[in-house]
Amino acid sequence: MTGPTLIIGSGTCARDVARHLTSEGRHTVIAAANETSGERPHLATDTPGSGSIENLTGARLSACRGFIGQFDATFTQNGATLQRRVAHIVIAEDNRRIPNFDLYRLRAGSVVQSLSAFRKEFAIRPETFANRRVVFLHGFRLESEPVLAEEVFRSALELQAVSGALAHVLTGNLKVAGNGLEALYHDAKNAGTLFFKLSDTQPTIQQSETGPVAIEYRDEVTGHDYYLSPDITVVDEHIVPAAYVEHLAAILGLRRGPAGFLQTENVHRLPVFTNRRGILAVGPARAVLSPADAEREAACGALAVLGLANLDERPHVDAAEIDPGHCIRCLTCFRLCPYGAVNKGSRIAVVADACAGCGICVAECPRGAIHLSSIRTVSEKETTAISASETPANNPRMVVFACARSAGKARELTEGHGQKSPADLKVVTVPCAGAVSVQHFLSAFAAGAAGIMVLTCHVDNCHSETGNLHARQRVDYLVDHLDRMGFGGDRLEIATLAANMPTEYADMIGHFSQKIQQRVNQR
Amino acid sequence: MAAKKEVLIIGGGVAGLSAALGLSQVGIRSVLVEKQVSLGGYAAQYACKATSACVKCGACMVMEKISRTVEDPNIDVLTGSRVDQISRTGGFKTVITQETSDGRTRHQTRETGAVILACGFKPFDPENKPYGYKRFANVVTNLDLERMLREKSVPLRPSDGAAPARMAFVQCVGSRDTQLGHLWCSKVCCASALRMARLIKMRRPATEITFFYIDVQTFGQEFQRFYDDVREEVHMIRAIPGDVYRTPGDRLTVVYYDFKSEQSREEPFDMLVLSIGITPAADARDLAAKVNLPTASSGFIPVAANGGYPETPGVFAAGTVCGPMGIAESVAAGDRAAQAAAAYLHGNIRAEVSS
Repeated sequence: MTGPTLIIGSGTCARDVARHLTSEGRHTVIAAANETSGERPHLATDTPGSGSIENLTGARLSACRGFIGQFDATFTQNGATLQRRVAHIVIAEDNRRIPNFDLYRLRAGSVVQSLSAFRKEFAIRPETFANRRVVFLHGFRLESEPVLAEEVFRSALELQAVSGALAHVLTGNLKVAGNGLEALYHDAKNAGTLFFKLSDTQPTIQQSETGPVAIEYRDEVTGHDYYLSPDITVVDEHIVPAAYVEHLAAILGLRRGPAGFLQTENVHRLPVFTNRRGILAVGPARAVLSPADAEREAACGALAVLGLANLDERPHVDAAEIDPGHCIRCLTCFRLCPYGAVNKGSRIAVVADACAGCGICVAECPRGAIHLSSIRTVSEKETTAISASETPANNPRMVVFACARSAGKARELTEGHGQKSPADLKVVTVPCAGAVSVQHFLSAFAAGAAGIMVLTCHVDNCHSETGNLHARQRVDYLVDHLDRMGFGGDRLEIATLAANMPTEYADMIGHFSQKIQQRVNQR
Repeated sequence: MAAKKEVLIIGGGVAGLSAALGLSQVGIRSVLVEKQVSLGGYAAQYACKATSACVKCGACMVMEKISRTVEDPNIDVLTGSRVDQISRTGGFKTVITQETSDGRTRHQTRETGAVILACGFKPFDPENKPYGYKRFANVVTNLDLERMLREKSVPLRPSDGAAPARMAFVQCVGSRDTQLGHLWCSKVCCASALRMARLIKMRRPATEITFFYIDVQTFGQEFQRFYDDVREEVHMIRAIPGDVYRTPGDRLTVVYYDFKSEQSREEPFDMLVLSIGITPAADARDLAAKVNLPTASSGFIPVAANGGYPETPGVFAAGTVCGPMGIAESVAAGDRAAQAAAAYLHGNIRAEVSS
């Protein structure tokens, strides 16, 4: 894991990651897709005794093969192809802003500007705003973000300092959930900015053919009607990922969140991890962050790289192994692995360093060609447990397959409170509920289980991204078949839990065991 | 003195746990000092707020961090412990007092190369606010409700254990309060309260919920959708109540000024939840002084201390000791402090080798 780290990004965040890594003696390659190089030096910089930075400008990732420790990244640069072999990849790409002109039915021009355009112009020529009345339209048709609120407050504060200038802020919810924002809001207000908050009503905004804007609204606090004819109307923006991020996600097999940012908002990946080991997402590529928060995340990214470089020093997870003799190259494992850990080379193999040991592939392989030592043990454990003689003969035997990360932890908490699971109920802890196959259910029923319950993570909370969905799909499939066979689909049940739900864990297994008991008694 | 490749972390909440785990990842040992008997801080008491899917509150992640910390051979966990004294000796020499589970007091001195201050926050005490907290049984805080949902799954009135038919949340209790000089938003309470409201609506759909607020804060990438949905389920009132009084049956009447009708209104509830703010920890100033970290007039340590100051080398701060932040941000702050501490220790080691 000693190779260089590839940092993809053109902005401050990418340079921050590189700075932290080089000061720890690591070698880095910064690949900026943009031609503009900003403040970055063009040549590789080496400092004796420390790491290095190689800058690739205008280099766009076109392909990437390999896994943690050895990624072969291909770039296109000025029509030529360029390759680099790296151990890890950090994506620190910038995001982009889209002005909300359409939202307010306004046309951009000299009297209607986006927040970014206004900030830029004001920074260069503040004096031209003397005696101007500026209205900021901020977050009342679309909820805004503290990052943008900070810029609005700061702009208003700075504007009030210009002779004769007056700032109005028309907003919905004032977004002050950022460091120092409430104080900044008070400063702007005390400097003379007029803030009007609208909760249920909307202002009437009209722009004449020649450009000028007229705004009418009712102040909800005083009930007074206001009519504004601003010299300049500043329209807020919304922040979306850079288009390049989508391209990177496709090449690198990364999952994205609802707004298109890298990561899926899965809390177990925070702050910088992605579904692929060795690939990290930091700063503006991952979420809407203030510059200070992005700077902090660059450090988190650097720490994660150092941690990955140190992986050899730490105990390895149990990795899946494919038996080449049984593999038919159907690529089911390749398609379903949430970690992108399957190497589709001359022979299909799971890359141990990239594997998180969830066992989804083990359960899905149509040939049973994949093995994971923890799952093999489960299978034996569960069969012995069910057929154990300690269960009184007339009591129904029940099996709970519990995801170790959620239900397994909840169970520990329940038992820590002194509550014991019913004696006739065997809990089999699995690395992920996605590891439990239809075969597992069938063999548990064959061994005499009267009921089986699967406890998995909530949707969007699975450590293995899709393990919970696979578990649900298999249960639904089998329930349907059990019903049709007259075996009783209600003997198999699935429910979702989190690690901090000990009460619900106890309730769920209590209800289930009662249901199965009643079912058996009715016979 | 030889550079010590070990870090003292004061506070075993989310930021402290993250810092310890982050350091361990890069092979650096730490001593994690927590004054409570268990790890995880306030966040370890929070309920899972998932409805049909995870709502990204992050509370479950805290459980996992605790287990990983306890099992980590690089982390020496001292619970029930307090830091009495820290002196700079090239590194740091710290006197720690531990109250062990068998009732004995144990003193020890640890030498480390760096210190991370992650001693957390103090929830605002709402007793002096006109909402009847501690006077009326059915007025609880958001932290009380978190624990209640964690332990009982549903809200129950403290006075009689009955399910409340009408509940109200009051936001910004002790936050955004110029009279108190609290010029900060506590950042986490809108998310926590609205997620709990939706969880209650899912488990007890008949519960009527009202939300008194100043401004609703954005959380998560799907906030717009969440906000649109929550307004269908929860009665949102943009006002902060002025008074609360008790009526027969331990019910509560909330008095607020309604700007739309320009008059004072009263609404009855069975249970009132006060979203109390994040305020500086009682011992933050004292601990910061022990390592020469400046404290702002708010009582929080400036967030710049996360990555450290040149004037106080080897000292870092992380988490809510620097101001309000949620679980996700505390994790990042813990990592940031770990990265800075690691860089500092490695720098010292390099300097020692080259000298």
